[in-house]
Amino acid sequence: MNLQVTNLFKSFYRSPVIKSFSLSVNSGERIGISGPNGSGKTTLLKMLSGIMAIDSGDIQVGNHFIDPEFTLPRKSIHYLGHSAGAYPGLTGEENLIFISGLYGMDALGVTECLEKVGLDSAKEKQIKYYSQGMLQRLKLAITILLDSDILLLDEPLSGLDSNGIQLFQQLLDEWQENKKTMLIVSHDHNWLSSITDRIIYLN
Amino acid sequence: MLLHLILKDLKIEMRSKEIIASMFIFGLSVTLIFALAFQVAPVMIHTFAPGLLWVVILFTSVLGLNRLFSLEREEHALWSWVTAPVDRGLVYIAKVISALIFVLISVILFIIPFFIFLNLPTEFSFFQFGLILLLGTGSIVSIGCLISGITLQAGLRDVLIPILLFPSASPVAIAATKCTGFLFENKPLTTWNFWLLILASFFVIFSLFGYLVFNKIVEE
Repeated sequence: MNLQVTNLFKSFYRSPVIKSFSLSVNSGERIGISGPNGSGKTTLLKMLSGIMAIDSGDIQVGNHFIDPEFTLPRKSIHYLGHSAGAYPGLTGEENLIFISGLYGMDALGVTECLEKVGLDSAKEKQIKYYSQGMLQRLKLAITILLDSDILLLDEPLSGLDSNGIQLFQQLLDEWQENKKTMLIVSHDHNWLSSITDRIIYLN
Repeated sequence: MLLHLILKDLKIEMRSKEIIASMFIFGLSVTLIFALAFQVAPVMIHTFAPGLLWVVILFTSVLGLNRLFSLEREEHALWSWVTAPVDRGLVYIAKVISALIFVLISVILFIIPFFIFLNLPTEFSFFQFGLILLLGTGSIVSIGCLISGITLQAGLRDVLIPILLFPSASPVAIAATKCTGFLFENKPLTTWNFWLLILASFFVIFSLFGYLVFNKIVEE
């Protein structure tokens, strides 16, 4: 699915973070986003996912514009952020069932997703007891479950051990095969250049 | 979808019991303080009891709302529904219903000691009392959920909720106190139904308003 960003503008307390930002991403393209701290990488992904309101500009996903009033485009985008985006008081399995319900999906694929990321043994544990690496795996399980066309991955390797990094590389290959459009934020420029088609540098 | 969202809040609360337990203990403590403070003038208790009851309900509601919306901040759990293709207004309605359930359960738990400790008469219509409690707490939580939504991303939200809620909910507290006072005096409903209508109006208007604007206010 295509992603078109036109003249995006965002400021915090009258200090602009993103000014007149435009971007065109073709379906299946993998874009790396790099830049120093505070350059607006996470802000950009949050605006694309609908978590953060935009000051001005347009974000178009396929044929639809991102707007708080329209729920449909949100189905095509998934944001994997710094936090789990899940309820600490629920178990890993319950969180996935809850999220699948929000997308109008049945819960049949939940166990399979948890097995795929190696969380099947901890699926009945409340996620407040999960380690950082387990939370990162849970985020990956949510991403697999939702199977969105556009993936916004913010520091996806953060907290993952070597097995986790290997798992992520496998998922990345699968997503590429399935023509997922990806925007990946990382500080590791070498890693980004090895897995993406092009890199955008924000400053 | 609405049920799905409510069940999530109920499941978390059934497991932790944080919200209802803290509201009940707080309500009971304030009731005890009032009972001891008014011991020297027991006649005055009957006059002030309706107001005291709604002060306790208002204070306990703040505790409950604060905790209920904190669930959304931990691990940015709200991202799960903010980014999902769901009507965010439904999330607000679900929060109002969850908060109403929690506040009413805690009220039911501390209202018995409230009547016992303050030695209040119980010869009145329990149905009408239940209706006042439902509409009064419903109005408070509908305003409270809207304020909690607005302050969800704010750093000082623990302080902001009571600061914004108490003035906004004061007409509700006044109307609910009037209704309860007339009920305790066994006045016929026709003499105080005006106050009951005010409560119902607040509940409906703020619930609708919250449903319509929640979409915009939850974004960062």
